Amino acid sequence: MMVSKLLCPEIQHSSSTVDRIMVITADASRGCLYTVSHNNALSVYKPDGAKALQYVQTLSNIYKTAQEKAPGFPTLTPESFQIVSLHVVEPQESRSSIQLLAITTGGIRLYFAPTYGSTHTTATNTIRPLQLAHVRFPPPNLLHPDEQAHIQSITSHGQPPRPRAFVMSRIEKTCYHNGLLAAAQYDADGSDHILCASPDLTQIGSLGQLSTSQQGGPGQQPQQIYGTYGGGGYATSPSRRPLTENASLLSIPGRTWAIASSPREVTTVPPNTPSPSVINELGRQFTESSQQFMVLTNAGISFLRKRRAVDYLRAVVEELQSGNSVKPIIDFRDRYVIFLFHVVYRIDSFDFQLRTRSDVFYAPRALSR
Amino acid sequence: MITSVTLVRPKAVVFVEEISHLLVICTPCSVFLLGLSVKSGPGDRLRNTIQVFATDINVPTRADMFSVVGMPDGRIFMASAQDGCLYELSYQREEVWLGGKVQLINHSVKGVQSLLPRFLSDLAAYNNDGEQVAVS
Repeated sequence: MMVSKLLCPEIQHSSSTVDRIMVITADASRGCLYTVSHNNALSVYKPDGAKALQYVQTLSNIYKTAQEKAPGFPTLTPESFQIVSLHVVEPQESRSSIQLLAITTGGIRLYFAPTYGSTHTTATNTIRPLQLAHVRFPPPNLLHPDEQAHIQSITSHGQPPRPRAFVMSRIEKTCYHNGLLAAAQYDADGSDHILCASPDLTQIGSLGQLSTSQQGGPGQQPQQIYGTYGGGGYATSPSRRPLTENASLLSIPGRTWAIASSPREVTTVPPNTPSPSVINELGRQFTESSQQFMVLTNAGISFLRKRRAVDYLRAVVEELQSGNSVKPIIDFRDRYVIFLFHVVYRIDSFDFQLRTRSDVFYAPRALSR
Repeated sequence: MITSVTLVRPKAVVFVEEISHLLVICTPCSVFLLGLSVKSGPGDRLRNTIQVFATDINVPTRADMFSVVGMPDGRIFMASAQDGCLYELSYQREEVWLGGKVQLINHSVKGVQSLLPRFLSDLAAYNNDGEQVAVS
């Protein structure tokens, strides 16, 4: 004890004074590192030289900023606000300069983007400090997978009871890729729940339609306001469409250890040719395979596959051919066909909420040990 | 007991060309690297062969590392569960004075503290099991 005190008296510090790092993420595209601490302080570093690491900034009041952006939102509580993962938003995905996504235990997504104005200059290049640009909540009307099956069985016999919403609160492992999210929540009953979310391209796409989205309205809920981007230099444009997502909750056997997106061959476009956004699968669905996530659990590996519009069409046609209900294909027509043919359609101006759909993601197979 | 496994890119000109990736293996008492090479089968992508090579890059530490990330240029960063600090596993081809081929650099503390020889901090760790040590 004494020897060590004499040799290195200053290198010891109390753990109570240190905000412990919980997550590190590398941003290869922008050449920087992000860390998040136990107290939700987000720090940015820039590797500088052979062994140096340049400190850029720390954002330590993220919870307060999120409260200001989403005042009165009931699920925004300190308990649901522990950041569990950080994901880089690649430059080719983000056309509004969103750079980083943080996900909390309650499934709240925090989007960070550079501020305009002040810059941080290192020996090699210049970095703009980040700020919280957007907060996105999990769907308030998520159904437990068991209740989804229960309701489907009841629907054929009568009016289903009002289902109880499933609240995300213990998210541990997450994965994000090109607008798609898969987040695993530990559940004590032996199977984890995976929250899957994807942009609803039929709602947020802009193919020259008349802008019929309006802010506000008689049916608007507090969380609906928050469907739009806002704040932090991102002035909400009246013409911007409300952000709509599809979300689903899947039950997966075992305890999730890790989630990763499967690599896939990406279509290359000729030089000097405009490329569709990587989020817009409608522009790529006939040249690329669907996006898959691999979920490693103690029971094996499960694959989650994003269902594209063409996969959806195949499923509803097969459903029709098997002699079942025509409702699925009618739904498909209402959702996609008008969209694909550029006809002006009226979007539901009150539909800011994340809508729960169980058909967006599905788990085609599981490999057991 | 292995607590963390991460696939990263190696630094240039440290390993032979065949090693295209590294596995960073963390245990509660050490961090070490394994080299990976991928040999493609004759005209069949599904028959690639992955070979694992032992390297002599091994750092004894009680910092219990996790959340390891690799940068495109091969630099490796990680967090310590023991003290919550940001570390870098720095390695090079040639040995350097007081550092050997491999060092753990604590970027959460400033200046010379982060580069103190390992035996000092190990000594401190052995003597202060209940306290936090910034350098490993």
